Amino acid sequence: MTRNRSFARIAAALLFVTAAALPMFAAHGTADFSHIVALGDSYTAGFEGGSLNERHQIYSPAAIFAQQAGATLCSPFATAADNCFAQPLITWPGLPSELILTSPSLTGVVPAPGSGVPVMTGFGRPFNNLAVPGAMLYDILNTTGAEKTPVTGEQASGIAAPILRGLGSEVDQAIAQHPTFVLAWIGGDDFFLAATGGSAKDCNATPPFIACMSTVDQFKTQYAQVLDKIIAGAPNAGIVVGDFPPTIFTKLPFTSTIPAIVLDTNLKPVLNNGQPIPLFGIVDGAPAALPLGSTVLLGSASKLFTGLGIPPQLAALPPFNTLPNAGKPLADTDVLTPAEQGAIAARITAINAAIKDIAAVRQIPVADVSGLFNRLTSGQISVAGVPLSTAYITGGLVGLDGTHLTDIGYTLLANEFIKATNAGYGTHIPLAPTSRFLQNNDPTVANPSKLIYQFPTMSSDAAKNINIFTTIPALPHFRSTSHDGSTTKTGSGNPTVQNQ
Amino acid sequence: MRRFRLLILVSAVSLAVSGVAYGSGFSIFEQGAKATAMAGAFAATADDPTAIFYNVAGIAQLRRAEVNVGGTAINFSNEFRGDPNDPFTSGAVGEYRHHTFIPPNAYFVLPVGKNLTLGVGSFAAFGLRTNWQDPWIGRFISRDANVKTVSVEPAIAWQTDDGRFAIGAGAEYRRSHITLIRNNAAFNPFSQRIADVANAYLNSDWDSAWGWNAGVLFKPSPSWRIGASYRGPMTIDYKGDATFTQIPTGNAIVDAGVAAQLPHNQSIATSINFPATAIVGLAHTHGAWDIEADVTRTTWSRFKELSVNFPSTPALSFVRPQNWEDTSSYRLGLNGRVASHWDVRMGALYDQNPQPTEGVGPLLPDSDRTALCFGVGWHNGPLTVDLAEMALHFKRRSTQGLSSDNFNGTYKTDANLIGFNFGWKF
Repeated sequence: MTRNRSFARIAAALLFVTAAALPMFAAHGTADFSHIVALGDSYTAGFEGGSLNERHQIYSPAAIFAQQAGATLCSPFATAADNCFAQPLITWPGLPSELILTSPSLTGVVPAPGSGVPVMTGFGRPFNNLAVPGAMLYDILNTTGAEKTPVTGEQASGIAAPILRGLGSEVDQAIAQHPTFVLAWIGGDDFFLAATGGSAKDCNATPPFIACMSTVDQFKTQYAQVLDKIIAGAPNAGIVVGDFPPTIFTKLPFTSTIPAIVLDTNLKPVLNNGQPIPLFGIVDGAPAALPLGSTVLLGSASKLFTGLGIPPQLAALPPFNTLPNAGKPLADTDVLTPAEQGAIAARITAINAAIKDIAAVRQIPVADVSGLFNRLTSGQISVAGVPLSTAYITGGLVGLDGTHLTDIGYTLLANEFIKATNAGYGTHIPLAPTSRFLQNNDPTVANPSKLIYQFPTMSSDAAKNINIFTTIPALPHFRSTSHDGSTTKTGSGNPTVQNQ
Repeated sequence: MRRFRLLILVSAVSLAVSGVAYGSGFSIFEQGAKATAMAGAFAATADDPTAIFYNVAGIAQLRRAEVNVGGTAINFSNEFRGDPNDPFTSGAVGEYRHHTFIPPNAYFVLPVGKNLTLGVGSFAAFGLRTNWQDPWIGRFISRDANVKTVSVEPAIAWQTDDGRFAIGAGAEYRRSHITLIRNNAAFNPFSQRIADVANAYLNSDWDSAWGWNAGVLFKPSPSWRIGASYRGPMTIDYKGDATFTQIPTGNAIVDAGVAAQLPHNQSIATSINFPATAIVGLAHTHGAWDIEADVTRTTWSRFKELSVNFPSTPALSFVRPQNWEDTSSYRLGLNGRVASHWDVRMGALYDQNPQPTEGVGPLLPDSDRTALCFGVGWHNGPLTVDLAEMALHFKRRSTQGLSSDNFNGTYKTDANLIGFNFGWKF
């Protein structure tokens, strides 16, 4: 009886201690962030300005998420024994070299001189951030970075080698680390690479998968495979995934900045009988006037400089007759037509439904990235009172490659995953602040050494490339014409054309 | 001649005032050390020259010419913590620059005949200073806001022969000055960062308005006193200048673009609707102890917006909705005549804030306050010395994600006030 009473007291004491301890654990919800691993593609990797480099890898959505959840980032000198969030850091200007702005115009966007070097290739364990630019779901399941015969865009780019290092696929390396939490924004390049390649064609049933969209069935199968492999390999790990914005390519600068019509130097359409003149390209396999609403991909802008896309009926007229390729069509891969836009949007809508279903069955929260994108494109985002947008160069949310986000944009993206995680797991991860991207160059700050946030504003290399223009220069590939059809002279002395 | 010099003194002392808000909104209720030690519960006592502020009828009780000069030294600590759910402020901290504010006050009363008393007082009934320490991420909303006021009030009061009933009135001439400083930012596409590109400095002239106040004091029995006073509303229209200073970003192209868009320095106009304040107090004397309870009501609902008009560049004009609400404060004070030359005092107060959650921000993060006070008074012949200590606690105020500036976080403020007044009876 006495013993029983003692047991009862001990049990009560233990119960009290447990109850007292509960609130502490409750603050962490049901997720354990002691070892976070990220799978994904260029966005999760922190690819920015056409480059993967350490200046932006530290602001990759995965790194931001991990830091907000309590992790510290590994320095380039970290070892496998260090308890830190490891990323495959590449020195600036990165791989490929990061695009920098030398003047506020399309032609002012140039690669920084030199190239970066991966500095953690000998790191003694898989990286926590395993995201590889260009990774389709197929890559996440299969690509190891050691492929000799590339069958995907990721494999062809060679960027997988310094990240995956032949140690296994993204998902296999994730499992090998015994992760406690997995950030898996995956599947974007199952449509993204097609769109930025000017295509909406479906992938074949088997590789190679180059610039194509996975079918919905392919997507579903592989998406579920990735999640099920994680669940099987790390059964206690929390997982968060995300959806995709269906209208992304109507707003992303890469696919929406250059309309496929003849423009003058003021970026106004050259009109013929009141109508814009469409550029000339391959439509359904044959050369034709591009449908109105088509866009020339930012990556193909340089082709316009040579006259490609100038309609044949203008080719013999000055100044187009001085351009070597005037009258020749743009390639199908240079252009995104409204039909292709529509097909891609429909595919994204379908895969979003698939993601929702697949995640729901597995009780995995889905970050509302499409909702974020709607806010990014509708003027709802401001930082320090400055409204930001997805406009090219000046918008502040999309970087100079026109497809990937800026550090500010990636912070907002990471926050969507934080919100989904907090909602799904009852955790209280604080959002990452965009205020850290204040340049904070206020000369009235009394003691600069006390600044909380200090960032390099521009590298000395980049600064050397700056041209001093007081006005935005004209874009050389846009022909200057008068809108009333008469022949005029441009400011640069180029002869102009009488509209047809 | 002597009286004239005193009047000059009264004005000169008060002109040194620097504003800081320590009553609800941006009012300052600490205008005398005796009253401050009793938590401002003084409308029914009103037995020293500071009655010109608390209840002008009270000066009718003063049957000797008397001067009283003092001040309130105010120190505070504050802290802003960003809201973990706000994508801009999460993780950020901020605090005010350290200032010690000493709003002074000065009063002079002169009895005339048996029933009448004339007086003049000078005080700062309103003021605000929120000067954030760099680097402050809210600097694009407000870096420094400074509202100063100084009032000069000639007053007159009359009491019945038996002293049981008194009335008084005053005409308040209030001058005020406003400074608002903030930075402007722009996206720098070269650094891909948000850069400070300009500083806007809005500085008003000293502008003024007249108002009035009145009070009554009734003593139904030797041990009971009832006081009530009313200080009327006022609107001051300000004119001033806006000065825009470019902040170089280090990038010539961006700087040239900013220079081309920088507004020229120009005149501005604004106005502030100051509230009316009504006070009702009930005091009782029991032996050597006086106890008083007061309720004040301030019509802060007059402060609907802060608008600044740029007549020559209307696009720069802005309106910041305030939509404040009327507030009450509750004050309880105790005064004990514990020795022949000594009084001890104590008090407590609860002061509601008028500011809706949406408006809580760097310009003014107000909140409900509570305070505990104590003090001593020493009097010997014509000389009086009053000292007061007030520990003022602002309830932690969160914007609850509702900030109209999208600047969410929690503000925490504490203040310590030391009041001192010296009086001389002629």
